[in-house]
Amino acid sequence: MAGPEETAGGRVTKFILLLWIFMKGTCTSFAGLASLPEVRQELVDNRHWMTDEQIDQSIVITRTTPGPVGGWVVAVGYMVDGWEGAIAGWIAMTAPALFVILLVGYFGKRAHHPRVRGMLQAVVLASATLLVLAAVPIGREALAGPLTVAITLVALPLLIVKRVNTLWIVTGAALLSFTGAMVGVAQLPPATSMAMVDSAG
Amino acid sequence: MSDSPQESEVVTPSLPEVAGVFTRFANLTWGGGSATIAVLKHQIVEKRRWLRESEFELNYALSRLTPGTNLLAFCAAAGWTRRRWVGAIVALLAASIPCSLMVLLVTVFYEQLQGSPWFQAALRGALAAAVAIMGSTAWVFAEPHLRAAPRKAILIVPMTVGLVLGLHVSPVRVLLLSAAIGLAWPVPKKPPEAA
Repeated sequence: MAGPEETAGGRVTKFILLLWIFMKGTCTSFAGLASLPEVRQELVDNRHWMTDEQIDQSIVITRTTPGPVGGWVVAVGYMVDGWEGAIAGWIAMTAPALFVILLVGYFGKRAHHPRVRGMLQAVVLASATLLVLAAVPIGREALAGPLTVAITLVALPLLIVKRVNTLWIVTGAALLSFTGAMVGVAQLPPATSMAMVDSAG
Repeated sequence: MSDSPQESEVVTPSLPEVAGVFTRFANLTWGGGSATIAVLKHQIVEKRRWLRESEFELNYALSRLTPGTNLLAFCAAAGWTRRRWVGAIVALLAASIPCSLMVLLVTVFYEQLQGSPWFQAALRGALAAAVAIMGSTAWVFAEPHLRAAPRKAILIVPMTVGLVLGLHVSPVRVLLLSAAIGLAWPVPKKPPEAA
């Protein structure tokens, strides 16, 4: 966190530098956690503004909260430079998304061409496969007992066949697991990091 | 990917509607970007008809090829498709501010939350649900193409698994390779028109 002795000019410089480091990571990566090596190298190895343990914490935090995995840079920004750092992280997470408009503008006019349709079809198929691969490490960590396995097995048909809202599924699963731990059906998990994987963020 | 007649009827949302839907549905799903995009698909394609199925496919596939956070790229593309730049900005802000505030909140109270076994138990349940959400998302996205283009699926799906697990190729390279294969795939000839 920034010390009170820092001048306004120093804080602005640090904000711009942090934003530059984050943008370098997010503009050159294509998934939520893929910018991690670049950002880690700058902040941990080169500048010593944070520790590896804090980087690990930021990954746990992004998995703990709903929404995109890319939110880990907001946590890192806050750890390094308080609110200003969090804002730098938010800008770096959000701004690259606007690149897509160039792509949609170009391919949108050609979307009915059979080759463009073939390309989109192939990318969606590969994305779906990548999603299953990304679910495996999460499952390995989260499905630690019969209760959590049962939650997954019941939730899957509810989602595919009954189209139940995911918010109800997640809330119900969290409540079931919590209640299971309270009444002793499920073992209390240790207070350690959950499985971390890189997936579409 | 075909445009059925019903599919061509779309609704142009107001900006407050864009803000409301993306705030509610882009910030409340565990399991990462694609799982959240599946929830958004249900809302903005099937329920509210803001996007045609073909527009959704275009936005989703291109968001996977955009740098940064894929979910936010999808939201920007969806907003742009119906309401151009202002729609893209509103969707982007609505999809990114609430979840960033949640990240901040958990960061501030990290020590307390991480030390609580009750919180960990609830989180484990939520992640078990996230596994199901990711599995169902993969099915919802892939199923129409498994039917429409089974030969392409027979090539792409095992290739993706082999490249990622066997050769540790990065996901974006696999996606770019898949895009190249899709572009180069032989186009079926149109049947001659009936006289």
